[in-house]
Amino acid sequence: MSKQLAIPEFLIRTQTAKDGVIVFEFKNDIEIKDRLTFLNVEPSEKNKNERTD
Amino acid sequence: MTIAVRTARSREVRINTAVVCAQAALESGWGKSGLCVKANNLFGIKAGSKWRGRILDLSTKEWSKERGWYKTIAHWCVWDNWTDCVIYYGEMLQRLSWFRDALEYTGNADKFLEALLPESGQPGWATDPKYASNVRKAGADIEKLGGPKWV
Repeated sequence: MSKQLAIPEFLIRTQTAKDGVIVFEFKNDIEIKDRLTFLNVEPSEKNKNERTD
Repeated sequence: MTIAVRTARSREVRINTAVVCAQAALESGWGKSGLCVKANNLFGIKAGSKWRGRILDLSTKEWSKERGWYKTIAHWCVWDNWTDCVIYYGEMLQRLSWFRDALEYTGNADKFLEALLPESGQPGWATDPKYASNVRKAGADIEKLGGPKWV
C-alpha cells in the first residue's frame, strides 16, 4: 500500500470502500494520455507497473 | 512540446526547457485551449503593433491592481506550428529589454522564470500574481509524467 501512496497525487483519486479498504484508481486516463501526448512523452514503466485499476 | 523545444534549441534559441514546457502546459491547458488549437499559440502571446503575421481575436481574463480580474478581447499571434511559436518566444526574450535577464539563466529554471516576471510597475510576462507558482506546479507535474526536469 505504501508503494501505491507514492503515485503522484494528480494521477489518482482515492475511494473508501464500504469495508474501509482504500481503492486507488487513475483520476482520468484520457487526461493523462493527453498530457503525455502534449509532452511527447511515453508512459514510464514505473507508471505502467503502478496502475491499480 | 518537447520536440518543438528541442528543435528550437537546436537552432540556438536560448530558453529553459522546463520553464518553456511548463508555461506552455499552463497557458494552453495542456494543448487544449482554443488559442493553442486554432493558432498554435502555446504561451498566450499577444500581437503587438509590429506583428506582421496572422492574428486571432479571442476573449481573455486580465488582472490589475485597480480592477482585479476582468474580461477583455485581445489580439493573439497565429503560427503554423508549435516550433515556430517556441522560436518566436525565444526571439522575444532577446528583443524585449525586460526579458533579457532571463537569457543569463537558461540553465536555472527558477531564476529563468523569475526573470520573466514583472517587477513592480514594470512590464513582464503575466499579470496574474499567482503565475509563478502555477508555472512551478505545472513544471512539477511535467517532471512526474517523465517530461523535462525542473533544472
